[in-house]
Amino acid sequence: MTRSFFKGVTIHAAICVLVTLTFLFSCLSYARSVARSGQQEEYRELYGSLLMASEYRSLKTEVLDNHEDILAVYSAYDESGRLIGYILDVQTQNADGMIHTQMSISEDGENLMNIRVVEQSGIGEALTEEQMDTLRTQLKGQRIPVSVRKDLPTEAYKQMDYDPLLGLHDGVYYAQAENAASDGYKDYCEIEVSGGRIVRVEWDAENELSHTRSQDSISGEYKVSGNIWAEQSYRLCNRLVLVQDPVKLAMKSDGKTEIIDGVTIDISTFVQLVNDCIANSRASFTKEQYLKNQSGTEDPDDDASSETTAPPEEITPAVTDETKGAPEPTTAADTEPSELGVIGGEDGVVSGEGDNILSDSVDGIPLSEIRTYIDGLPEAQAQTAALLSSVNEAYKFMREYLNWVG
Amino acid sequence: MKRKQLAPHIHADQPASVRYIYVLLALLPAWIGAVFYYGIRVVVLSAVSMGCFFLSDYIVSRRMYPEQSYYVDLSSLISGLLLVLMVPASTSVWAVLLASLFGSLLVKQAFGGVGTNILNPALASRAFLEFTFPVQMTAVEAPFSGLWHLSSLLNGKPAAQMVSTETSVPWMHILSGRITGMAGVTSIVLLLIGLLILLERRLFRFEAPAGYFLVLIFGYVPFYWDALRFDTFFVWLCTGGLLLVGIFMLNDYSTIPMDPKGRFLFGLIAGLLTLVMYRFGNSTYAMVFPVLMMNMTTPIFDHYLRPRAFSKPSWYREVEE
Repeated sequence: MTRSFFKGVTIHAAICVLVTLTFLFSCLSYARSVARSGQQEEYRELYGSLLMASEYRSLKTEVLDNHEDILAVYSAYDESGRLIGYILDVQTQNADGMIHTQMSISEDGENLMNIRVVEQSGIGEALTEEQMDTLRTQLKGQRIPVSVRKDLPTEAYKQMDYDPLLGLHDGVYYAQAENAASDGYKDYCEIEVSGGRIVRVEWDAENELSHTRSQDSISGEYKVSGNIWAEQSYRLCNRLVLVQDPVKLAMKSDGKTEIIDGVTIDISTFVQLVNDCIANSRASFTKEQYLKNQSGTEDPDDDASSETTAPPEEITPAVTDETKGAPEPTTAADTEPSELGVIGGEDGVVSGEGDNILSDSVDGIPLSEIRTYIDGLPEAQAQTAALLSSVNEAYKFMREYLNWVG
Repeated sequence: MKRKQLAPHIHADQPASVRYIYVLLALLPAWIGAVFYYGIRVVVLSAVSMGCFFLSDYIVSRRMYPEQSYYVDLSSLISGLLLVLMVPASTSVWAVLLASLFGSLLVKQAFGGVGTNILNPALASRAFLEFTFPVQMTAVEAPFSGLWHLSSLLNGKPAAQMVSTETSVPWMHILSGRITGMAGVTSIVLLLIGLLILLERRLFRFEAPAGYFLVLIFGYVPFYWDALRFDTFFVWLCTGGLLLVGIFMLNDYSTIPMDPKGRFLFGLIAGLLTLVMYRFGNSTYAMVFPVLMMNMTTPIFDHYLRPRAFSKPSWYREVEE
């Protein structure tokens, strides 16, 4: 064996390896392209009626982890590679049953392009083709999120006539926190009762410099997450005027409420002060009397556990003849079952008079975000609601995903 | 100084070791394909098998046949490589080690060492594995199922613990060998590249393979008249190891008849036995045993079909007459 022999063998081996690897990688590349085109064909068959695209790509994003109802998401591209929309596979469940839908949404996440029901169980009778066509006609091209028209606030307000609390006396009533909060402001609340109804509510706080919290929040000196504090206080007071009863603010154990759009602050102090005001009203313990009593009885050795100034024992509500036989009015003390101030049987949920609690959200989306209201199917309300829930779930995913993508 | 070499001698344009190097080269594409599809395990198994075959042959031949000590037997490497190509990638190193020792000691060295063995060592080792490690021999894996898995080297379990459920395999996969099967026998194209190298180096004797494949192709119809499935048969023919056997085992110098007619007849009968075993036995038996059975008849072929001498002295012709 000579040197030229080894040279020949080496050349043979090199060519052999080169040819083999070229062949194998070519085959692999070809097989992948065939598999990809086969998969695209399958996608076109599945989703073409929702959104015809040249290419569908499965979205793998961590945002999906936060949305269990979203089974799969595909982005759709045209021949030039431009994003033309998304396909979402959504399965939502409620207490009644389950609905599995597939829908296409525009590339900006704003509009619903098409929708179909894949499977439905437990939620009334299955939607017929005609009913689905009707819903599709109402939904196609509309901006999301969507709600049925009866959920419009004005409609809701008309339907709901909130009864006033019993035993309120007309006048202006006031309550103030015993001590300043950790931010240095001392909270106070004032309500005005006219004709037995609360017609005006004011909640604010003052610090040692006599600056009010609302003024400071407007000037930017006092900051909270979300809307400025003054706006949140204003919304909260307006809501109380509407619903009349602090119980209907659905305060949760953490002191927050989810049913008032734009209110994210802790409202436990407000609820406490309002309850005090209501008790004062029932006792005809007016603002003047309150302030006079407070200045007269102010004593640093008072029981520190009492955060607010209670009306004196000798002033008790006068139960008139008209109120006899009427149901026992709900007192502030009655609605205060725990130290945490949880109101209602379940956290954030009001029991008993449940129907007339006004919610500011649909499927967890604030009403202010709802872009489209449709008539839905009057004869299939549960099915319509379930279908819209799936659309709104898709909206929530798209909102988070598009924010995530940036 | 001339080295002492054993008779008989034959004139050839290249020595045996050179031929074996090119046969190894011809097996290289199939081996690369096996590594490509099954990963590092094939590399380890090849190293074990080839190393064991070579060392065993080397040590034993030095002890038992000192007259062969001048010769470095590269055919051991070929046997080791062929064995690995014919087993599932998930085979354990212990199995391969034992099979290599069996092939080297009992099949080759016990019958006189290089060039005197009756059975093909690689095929005999494969048959040995079929009986001693039957579970491992059926644990075939899908390609790309465990490129970096090494655990099967110790326990012999496949990386994906799967048996092929493929019902229809794309043609591109059949050509490239991307189908569930033994490590290095599934690619037609890679084996044909090896055949091209053998042809180019004039190392391929076509008679036995020709007889073998003629019977397989034309004998299939009468054998399977009741259940003709050409697609299944074609896939088996091309990817079930028959191509490897046809190109490399039926081209062995030691275990195949010397006469061309004998080789052709050898191939025909081996093909016929393959069809019978495929019809009534299983595909692995049909790959391994027909050739082994025919290997045992090679001395008979050589006895009755001796190569004709082209130039005989006049006194020899007179004696013959």
